[in-house]
Amino acid sequence: MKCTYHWLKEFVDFDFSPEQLAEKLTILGLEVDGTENIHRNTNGAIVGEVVETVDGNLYKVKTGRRTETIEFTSGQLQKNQKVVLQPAKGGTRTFQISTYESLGLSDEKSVVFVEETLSPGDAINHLVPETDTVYDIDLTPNRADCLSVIGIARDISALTGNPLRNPDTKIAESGTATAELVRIGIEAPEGCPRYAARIIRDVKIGPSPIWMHDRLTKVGLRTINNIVDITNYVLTELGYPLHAFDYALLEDKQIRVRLSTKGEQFVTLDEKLHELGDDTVLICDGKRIVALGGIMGGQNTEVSEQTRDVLLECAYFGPKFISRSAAQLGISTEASVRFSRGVDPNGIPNGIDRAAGLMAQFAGGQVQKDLLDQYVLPIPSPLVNFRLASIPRHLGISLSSTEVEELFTRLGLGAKPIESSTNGKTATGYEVEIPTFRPDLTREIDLIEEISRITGYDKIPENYIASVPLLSHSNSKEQTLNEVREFMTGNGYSETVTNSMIPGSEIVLKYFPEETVRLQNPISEDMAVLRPSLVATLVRVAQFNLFRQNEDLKIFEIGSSYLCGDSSFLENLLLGGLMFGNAENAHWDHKSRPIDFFDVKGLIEDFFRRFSIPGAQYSPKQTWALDESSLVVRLSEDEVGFLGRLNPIVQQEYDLGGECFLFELNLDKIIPNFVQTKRFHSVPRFPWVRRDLSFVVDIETPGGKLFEKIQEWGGTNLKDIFIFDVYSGQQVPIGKKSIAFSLTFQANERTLTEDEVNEAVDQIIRAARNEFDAVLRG
Amino acid sequence: MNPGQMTEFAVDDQIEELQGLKQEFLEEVKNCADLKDVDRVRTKYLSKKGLLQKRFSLLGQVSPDARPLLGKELNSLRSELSHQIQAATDRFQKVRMQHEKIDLTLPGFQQKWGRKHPITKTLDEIKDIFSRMGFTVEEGPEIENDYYNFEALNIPEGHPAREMQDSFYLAGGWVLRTQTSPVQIRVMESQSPPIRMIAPGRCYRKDTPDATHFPVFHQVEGLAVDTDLTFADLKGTISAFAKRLFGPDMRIRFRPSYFPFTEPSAEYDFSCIICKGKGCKACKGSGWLDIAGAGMVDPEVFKDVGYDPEKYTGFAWGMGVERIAMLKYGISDIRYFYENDLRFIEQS
Repeated sequence: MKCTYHWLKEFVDFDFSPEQLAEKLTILGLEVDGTENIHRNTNGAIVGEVVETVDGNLYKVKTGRRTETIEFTSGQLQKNQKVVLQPAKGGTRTFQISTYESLGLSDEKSVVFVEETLSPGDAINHLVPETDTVYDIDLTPNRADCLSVIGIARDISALTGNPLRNPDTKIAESGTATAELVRIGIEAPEGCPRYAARIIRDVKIGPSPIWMHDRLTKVGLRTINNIVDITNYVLTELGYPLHAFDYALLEDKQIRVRLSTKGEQFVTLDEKLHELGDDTVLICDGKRIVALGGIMGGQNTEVSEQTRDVLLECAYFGPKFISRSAAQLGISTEASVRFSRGVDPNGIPNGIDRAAGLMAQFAGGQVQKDLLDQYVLPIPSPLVNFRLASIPRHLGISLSSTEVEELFTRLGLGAKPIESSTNGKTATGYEVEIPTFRPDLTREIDLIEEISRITGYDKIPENYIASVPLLSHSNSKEQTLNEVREFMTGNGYSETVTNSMIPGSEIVLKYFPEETVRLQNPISEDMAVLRPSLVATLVRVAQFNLFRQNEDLKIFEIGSSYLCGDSSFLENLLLGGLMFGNAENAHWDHKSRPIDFFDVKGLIEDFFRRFSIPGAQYSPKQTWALDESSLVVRLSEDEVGFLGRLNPIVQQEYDLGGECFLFELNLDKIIPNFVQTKRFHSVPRFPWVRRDLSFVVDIETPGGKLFEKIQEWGGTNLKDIFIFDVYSGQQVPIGKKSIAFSLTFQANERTLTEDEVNEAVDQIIRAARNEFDAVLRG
Repeated sequence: MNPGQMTEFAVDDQIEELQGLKQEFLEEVKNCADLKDVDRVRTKYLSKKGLLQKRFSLLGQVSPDARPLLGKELNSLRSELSHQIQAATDRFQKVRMQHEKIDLTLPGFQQKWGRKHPITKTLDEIKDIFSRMGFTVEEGPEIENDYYNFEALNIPEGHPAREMQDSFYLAGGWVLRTQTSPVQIRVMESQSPPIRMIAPGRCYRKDTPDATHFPVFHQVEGLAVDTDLTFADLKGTISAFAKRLFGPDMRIRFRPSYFPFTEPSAEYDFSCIICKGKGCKACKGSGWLDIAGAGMVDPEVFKDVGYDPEKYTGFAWGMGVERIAMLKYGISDIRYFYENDLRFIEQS
C-alpha cells in the first residue's frame, strides 16, 4: 500500500516530519518498507488563460492581472483554454506554459489540463505540493482497513489524538430516480451481500484534475480518464473498489449478480479471455456477463471516449469467494486484494457518493436521484466483551478506564461500560462495538493488541525474572549429537551443512528409483528432489572444494535423508563423512601419507569404541555408492551403515580424481545403543608383560578373524592386542602372509608369573595352528 | 687384604696410596669419550660400592690418632673427584647440545583439527543461552502435514498468511515445514503447562537464493506457557538473550506486526551491533536490525491443543540462525553457509 505525506495531512493533523512519520507508521505496525521523496516544479506556478493566438506558436496568456506573450510548441492551444504557467528557466520571459513533463508529473509532453474551477493567477502548489514523500507500507494481511489513505490516517489520529477529517460525500442529485434507470437482482447473496449503484449522466470524458493526476501517479496508478481515475482515486482514498460501466452498453438496463458455472467464458478489461470455474461471482446485464465481481470489469461495457452515462457500482463481495476465484483465475487486482481481506460493507454509500460527487465536479455529470442499494445480507457491527483486567494479564501493564476509553474512541470503537461475572467474580469492562471497517477485530485479545499497539510496545517493561520448571526433561539426543560432532572434529573432520534439495538429474538418484522424494513445486530443476543419502551432498561439497583447489578433505555432515516409504515419508538422521587427499597436514619433518581404506575403517571402529557400543560387525558387501573395497556395518544383524571407497561411476561423474573414501551411519538406529552413563573400572596396578607373535597363514585367511580369535583365546589376562606388521613377499612362502601381533598380558589383582604368560601364549599358538593352519614365524 | 693388618699401615702410606688413586682417576677421566664413560668412572670411584667409598669404610680400623688426618684427606679427595666428574659431565653435555642443536624458529607440526559449521556453532550458542534460562530443546520432522504447519497455527486454507510463506509441497499434500512452530504444537499436545521450550531446526521457504535468502535455512522458535506470563516476560526473555549473545549494551525494540498464531504480535529488532545504534549502512541508518517475529500465543492455538486460554497465557518467538550468525560473525552472504568451502568453515 502506498500513500503520501500530504495526502495523509488532508485527513489528520500531525507535527511529524516526513522521516518521523515513517518511523511512527512503523511503530504503529504499518511497516514502511521504503520512502521516496518526490519533487514537482510547482513552486511559483500559477494558472493562466489563453487570450489569443498571436502567431503560430505564440500565445497571449492572461497571468492574473497581466498578460504575457508566451511560446508553446507542444501542441495547439485554444482561446480561453486554461493552462499552468511555471517560471521559465533562464529565458527573458517570466513564464513558460507547463506540460506534464515540465511540471515533473509524468513524461507526457502535452499541455497540463486545468480544471474549470481555477482562475488565472491562482497558485497551484497547494494542489500539487512542491515536495512530497511517498510511503510504501508493507501491510500485514490482517489490516484490511489500512488499504486506504483514510485508514492509515485513522491510525495516526489514534496515535496523536488529533481528530480524523472525513472527505466530503455530499452530492447534488437531479434527474430520474436510479431505480427507474436500472434494476438490480442479487441471486448470490453469500457472494454479494450488498450491491449499490448510481447513475451519472452526461459525463464528459477527459483528463483528470491535476492534483488527482499527481496523487495517482505518486501511488503508482496509471491515469486513464477522469471516470476511471476517480474510481481509482476513491479506491486509494477510502478503500472502496468501484467499477464504472458505460450505461448505454448495459443490455436491458439490468444488473444481475450470480455465480458462474464451470466452463463459462469472459473477456476482462485487459483483453484476456478467462475460462471460469464454479462459483465465481459474476455481474451480468440482461444478456451477458459484464464483470467478474470484485475482481475485474469486462471489455464489453468499458468506459470509453464515447461514454456519456455511467453506471457506478460499489458492492461488498464475500472475501472467501473473491480470494478463491482470484487464485483460481490467477488474477490479483487492487479490487480483489481488498475484497479478499474485507471491505467495509456498511460504508458503501459513503464510497459511492464520494465517487459520484467527484464525477459531478470533475466530469461534469449529473448524479441521478436516490442511491440504489440492495443490502440482502446485512452485516452487523459485532459486539465484543472486554475486561479491564485482561490488559495486565496479557501485557504486564495496567491502564485506567479513562485511558482505555480514550483509546477506544480514537480507534473509532464504541465502548459501553459493563460488569460481567464469571465464576462468581465480577469484572469491570466494556461491551465494545466493532465498526465493520475493522473485520480483524473479533475477540477480546484483538482489542488488547489494539491497545498495546497504540499505547506503544516501548511502554511495556522488560521482565527479567522468570519462574522455571525444575523437573523438565532433558534432551539426551541433542547432547549425544554434540558428542558425535566433537568426536568427528577431534578426528580432524570439518562439518558441512548442505542444501537438502538437490538436482533431479543427480546420478545418485538412480540408486533410489522408487524412494526419491520429489517436490511438487520446486524453485528450479537444480533443487527438485530431497536427498536420499548424505553421499549425494558430500560428493557435491567435495567436487566444489576440489574445484576451489582445496585438495585435502575430511568432511562430515549430520543431517536427514528423505525417502518415500510404503505409506509415508521417511526421514533418517544420518552421519556421513568423506575423505580425500592426504591424511595429515604437511610438515617439513613428516612425510604426508594419502588417505586409505584403514583411515575410514579405523574412524568407524573408534566411533563405536568412543560411544561404548559393543558388537559392531563389519562384513564385505558392495553398497550402491561404493566399490568392492567396502564394508557394511551391522549392529545385532541390523544394517546401520557402510564405509569404503567411492564407486568409480559416481567418482567420475563428480570429477574426483584420486581415491575418495566415505561412510554413512544411521544415527536413528545407532543412538539408542549409546551408553548414557559409563561405568568406570579401576586400573590394574600390577606390571604388564608384552609378547610378540608372528603367524604365517594362507594369504586368503581373514586377519581380522584371527585377531578376534586371539582375543578370545587370550582370556581375561590378555588386556590389549594390536597388529604391528602384515607382510607377504620374499621372506614368506608364496601364497602366504605373515601377521605380527603384539599381546599385552596383565592381571587385575596380582603380578603375572612368567609361566602363566607362557601358558597363555602357548594356548594361542596351538589354537591358531588348529583353526587357521597358522605357523609361528622364526 | 686382611682388615686387621690395616692398622699396621702408616697413615703416610695411606695418603700416598690415595694420591695414586687420584692419578688413576684423573687418567680415566681424561680418557672419557662421552657421557657414558664419565658415568662409568663416577660409578667406579664415587658410588656406594666405589673405590673411594671403600676407603671411607676402612677408616674405623685406623688408629684413633690418625683418623682425623686420613678422614680429612679422604673428604678432600671426594670433593675433588666429584668436582672433576661434574666438570667432565658439563663438558660432554655442552658438546652433545651443540651436536643436537635444532632450528627453533621453524614452524611446529600441527594436527589437523576439524571445525564445527558456523551454523552449528551459532545454534550451540543459542541453545546454550536458552538452556540456561530453563528452556528445553525439542525436535520434530521436516516433512510436515498441513495440520501442524498451518491449521494448528491458526492458518486455515485460503488464509492470506499462507501467501506470506511460500511453501514447498510434496505428494499427498505434505509440506516442507516453513517454520519450526509445528514442534511447539506437538509438544503442547503431549505435555501440560508450564512449558518452556525451544525448537531448533531446518526449514524451507520458496525464496530464490540471494545474499540474504536461501530456500533452506535454520530457525529457532521458542515457546513459554504458564498461568501468568505477559508481554513483559516476552520482552525480558528476548532482551536477556540479546544481551547474552551480543553483550550487555544491547537494546531491543518491539514493533506491532501480525502472525496468525500470536496476538498481540510483534517484530523485534536489536540495536545495531555495528554502529551501536547510531545509524550506519548495515542498519540503513535506523540504528536497528530487524531480527524476527514474536508475540503472545493466540488463544485459538491454545484451544486447538486443549489448553484453557482463560487459565494460561504464553509467548512465542522465532529467529533465523543464519541471520544471527551473519550478524555475529560478520558474514556477508547467506550462500557461503551452503557452499561449504573448507576455507570458510575452518574459520569457525
